[in-house]
Formats: sequence, structure tokens, C-alpha cells
Amino acid sequence: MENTGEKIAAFVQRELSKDKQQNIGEDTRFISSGLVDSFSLIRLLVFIEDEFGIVIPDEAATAEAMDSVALVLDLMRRFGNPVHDG
Amino acid sequence: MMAETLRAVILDHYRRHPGQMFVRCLQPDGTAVPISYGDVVSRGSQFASEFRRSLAHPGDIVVVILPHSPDLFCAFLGAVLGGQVPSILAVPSFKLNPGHYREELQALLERIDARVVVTDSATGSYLGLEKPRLGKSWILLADKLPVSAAPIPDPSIGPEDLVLLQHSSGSTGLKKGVALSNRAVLKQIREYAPSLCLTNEEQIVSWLPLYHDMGLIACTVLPIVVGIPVTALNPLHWVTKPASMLQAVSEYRCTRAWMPNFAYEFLASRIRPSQLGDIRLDSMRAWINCAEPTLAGSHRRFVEQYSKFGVRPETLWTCYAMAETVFAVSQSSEAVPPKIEWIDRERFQADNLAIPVEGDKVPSLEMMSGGTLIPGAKVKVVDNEYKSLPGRTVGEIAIRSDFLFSGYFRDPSSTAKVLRDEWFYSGDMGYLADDHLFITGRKKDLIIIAGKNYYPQDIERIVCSIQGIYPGRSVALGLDDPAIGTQRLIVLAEVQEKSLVDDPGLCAEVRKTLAGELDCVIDDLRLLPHMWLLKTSSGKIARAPNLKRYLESFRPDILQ
Repeated sequence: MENTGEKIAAFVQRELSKDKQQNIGEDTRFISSGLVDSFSLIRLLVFIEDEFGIVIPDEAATAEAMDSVALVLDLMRRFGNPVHDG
Repeated sequence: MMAETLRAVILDHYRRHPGQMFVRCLQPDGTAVPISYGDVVSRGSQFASEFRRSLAHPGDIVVVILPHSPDLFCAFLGAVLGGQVPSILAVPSFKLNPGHYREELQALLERIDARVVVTDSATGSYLGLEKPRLGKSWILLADKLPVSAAPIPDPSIGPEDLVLLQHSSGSTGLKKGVALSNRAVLKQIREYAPSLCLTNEEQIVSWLPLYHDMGLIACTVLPIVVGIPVTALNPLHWVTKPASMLQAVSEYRCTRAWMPNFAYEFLASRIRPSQLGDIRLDSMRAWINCAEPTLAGSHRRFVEQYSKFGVRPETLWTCYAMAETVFAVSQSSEAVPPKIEWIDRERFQADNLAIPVEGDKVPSLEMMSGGTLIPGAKVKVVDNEYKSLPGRTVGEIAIRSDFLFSGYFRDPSSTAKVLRDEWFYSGDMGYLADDHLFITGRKKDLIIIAGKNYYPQDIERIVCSIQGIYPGRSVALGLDDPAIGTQRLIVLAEVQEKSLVDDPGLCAEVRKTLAGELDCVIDDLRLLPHMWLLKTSSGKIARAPNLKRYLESFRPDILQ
């Protein structure tokens, strides 16, 4: 079964990234590297809510705090149930 | 007698009703910080006192780089109270390269001879502003400013003195400053306000940044002049939580909003009804579409999505505005709705004519007007020789009014290019029909993405500076995408070696560099072999033929 980080990376690469050739790893800075625009982040928030049942509050859901899969996982740990990475 | 300066308007509010709310500053966690005119004058005077301490005299430029906060409003208005000329710049995004931004900022500060830069500790530290000055400009940190009472400044300023500088387009170092006098700003707002059919119970809601004319004039200065409060959201948080704007409308019973076209699509497509609960949007009297081409389809989708929450189609208005006329040139309303018509596509493309047709009979384009001219605005549509064209003929829109800007600040050559015989040549293309003004595009290439302007030459210069890209051989193109209500950014660049065609590493470098220097994201990037791009007979790489070739060659799936 895909782990959480892989699911998020796959979603970002498949649905949000402007360059499908670029691999999204756990530490890929997908916003500051110009692969994903800030307006797409709401789709990532919805995905996290639907898939994992975690709602990231408004004040924490900034583009800077969601710039990589690793950062998103940090947010999910802070605001949701424990995330199983493996 | 009516106040002749913005400063006098603010002080009039302060004397008559110091407790009246000017702005409700909404924080990302949902808390609201109301700022009264008493607060504006008290905190603004503290700022003005510090500006004076930095030897900023009336007429000197004060640059404000602050995040959404009460101090953003108070620093801006503090400069107005002190007679200095404030100019708000965007807080650098975390995506931007701080060293590069600092260099560009310093070049801008020197060019406009800014006496003071007001920012905060976080931004100052991000930009590495460790010394008390950047070039010749003093750095003031708003969060370190004393909170002790300061006397209300009493500068000698008159209606012809500048009240603000508006920098809105281009990379930081190349921005042109639109210089606006007190007279022009007050005249515009007093002429514009009746077109808005304001009642005694109004409240504006805004998520717009204050470095943009729509955020600054329509949603900050206009509310002061006409005396209506604003509920202001943080633009950066609105992007990830667009529902917050609709929740604010419902909670505070807001009545007016100005938004660029893409926001109608964004709100219609990205919010789930479950996020909205039982909100009510029926307090809204006007959703005013402005700042990028307005699409009737975006209005339809917005109404379809939100009619069940109380949005009425007659509250969707349009406006045509620009910083050089302070703000509005034309406006539609409930009484004069935007005119929507279908025009013959071929006649439009071949003959520059807007001939109405029935939409399903011949290939056609749907046009929506920006309303009728506001009082005090004269418009003519001209050809390349500045000759006036008849109605329904597409040409450049020129404007004459009592509320034109004073010129681009310290840039007489740019000013002379657009101001001739008291007419301002906007660079926008359009036509007049039945008293309505229709905007069809830009004379010069300008890419507008989500209400933000990019000059293609800025993008091309940056792309061509990257190792591996053929110098001087790239084009940046804006492609209209009705599905998202704004433009997509296409970049085509020739590479120096065949092996670099569509090279993933070089693609990543181009994307990262553009994000770091201009904070923009390329929707489709193509690294092409040398000589792929088409040149004109004069040897220039022209954008229109290359857009056509791109569409024919790649049939991009971003449009599907």
C-alpha cells in the first residue's frame, strides 16, 4: 500500500504540477521551484481532507508551509491523527 | 467646503467620529482587528513622527513593505498625514530570491529617491537588511516602532501635491511609479462614487493586495473618501482559503467587492458547498469585475454556483480601470447592466470591426462591456496614427479627464510616450458601442494572470540569462483560457545544444529562476531546438506568430 507521503507526492505530480516530467520527491520544493502555483494548493488541502480526514486550519495552510511533501506531512502530524510513513 | 486633500478627509473623520471603524483587519485565524479613524490618526502620527525623524519631509517618498496587518494601513496613512508620498510594494514572497529582490529594491529606491522604507523585522531579516539604511534610504521596522503618543503632523500640503505613488507592474527594479495628486484622487473618487449607487449601509469586503490599484484605491482610499468601512482579508490566505471571503460577507453583511475575473472562476470551482454551511450572500449589492478581461461565462458560472446562497445576477457588475486614471474609467451597475453581445469573429480579426451577430449563426466571440463612462471621463478609440475611429471599430483606448495621473515618477520619457495633448493612451484595445466601452485586448503585449501583470520582455530577459538557453531567443506568451477565467503563461525558449531540447534539468532551472525572480509559474514550458522560433522581416522574434505556431505544433492539453 502506498504510504501517505507517496500518495501526496503522486497527487501533486499527477494533478497539480505543471511539469509531469519532474519527479516530486519528499523534499522537492514544488511551490518555490515554480512547479505548482499557489492557487492549486486548495486542491491539495481538499485532497488531504478527503483522503486522510485531516483539516489544516486557515492560519497554518500557507504556501510556504506546504512547499514540499515533507512539510505537508509535518502539518498533518500537527493537526491530524498520527501519520504512518511506512 | 469639501476637503481638498486626503489628509484633510482623514482628519475630518477623526474629528467628527474618531470611534468609527475604517477597516476590519481579518486575521488568518478568523479574529478581527477593527481599526477606527482614531486608531489611524494615533498610530499614523507615530509613523509620521518616525518618518520625520528619518528626515522625510513633505513630498518625500516613503516605501511601505508590510504584510496584511493594521500597521500596513496605518503606515500608509501615516505618510499621508505627514505629507510624505507613500508607495506600497508587495512583501517578497518566500519564493523570491532575497538577494536578487534586495538588489532590485535598492535600484528602485535610488531611482525614486525614497527617504524611508517601512517594513517589519521578519521581512527585514529575510531580505538581510541588517544595516539601518539600504543605499540612501532609512529602514524603519514597524514592529519596533515606539507606541508612545505622537502629535498629529501638520505639513503644508495642497491639492496639487502628490498623495501617493502606485507601483504595480513589472519586475521590482523596472517598475514605473504612477504619481497621483490629492486633487486627482479626490476628483476621481467623487466622480466615480455616484456610479456605484451607494446607500447609507455599505461595507466593502476585500482580499486584494494594497500594492494593486484595485486594492488600494477601490478598497482603501475610496472607502475613506465616501466614509464606508472595509472588511479586509489577507490576500495570501485567501488564495488557500477562498471561502473565507464568502464567510466574511455573510458574517459582516458586506455589500461590495471588487475582484479580477479569475476570482469568479476560482470561487465557483474551488469551494465545496460543505465548507459554506448556511452562509448568506444576499447582502451583496455589487460584485465588481475589474483588472483583467471580463468574461460573461465567468459571471454565469459564479451565479450558478452561488445563487442558492443569495447571489443575484444583477449584482454582477463590470468596471474598466487603471492606475493612470487613479482608478475607474467606466462602470456598469444594476441600472446599467454590462452589455453582453456576440460579434462576428472573422470581421473582428480581419477588419477590426465589432459586428453584432446571433451567436449560433456564424463563428463569433462573446463580448461583455465594462459599462458606460463615469462622469468626467472622455474616451476616444484611435488608430495607430492617433486618428479617432467610429463606433464599433477596434482601436487603442485613449482617455482624457480631470483625474489623470501626474506622470510616471521621475520618468519623463515613459510619460511622454503615453500622454499626448492631455490624452492618455492606455495601450488597451477596445471599441465603443451604444455608450458602452468594450475592452478586447492589449496593443502591447502584457500578460495578465489572476489580475497580476507581467511584461513578457521581463520573463524573456530572465529566461535568456540562464545558461543553456540561446541568448535573445525566447518568447513569453499569454494564452486566454476561459476555463480558468484568466491567462496561461507559455514560455518557448531555444536551447544552445540539441541535447538540451526539453531537458528536465534545464526545465527545472528555468521554472525555479522565474519563480525566484518574478514569483510566476509557467503553465507550459518548451525548450526547443535553435531556429524553431519565427522571426519577423525586421529580425525580431514576434509573439503572435509564435503563439500560432505553438498552438499548431503542440495542441496543448492545458486547454482541454
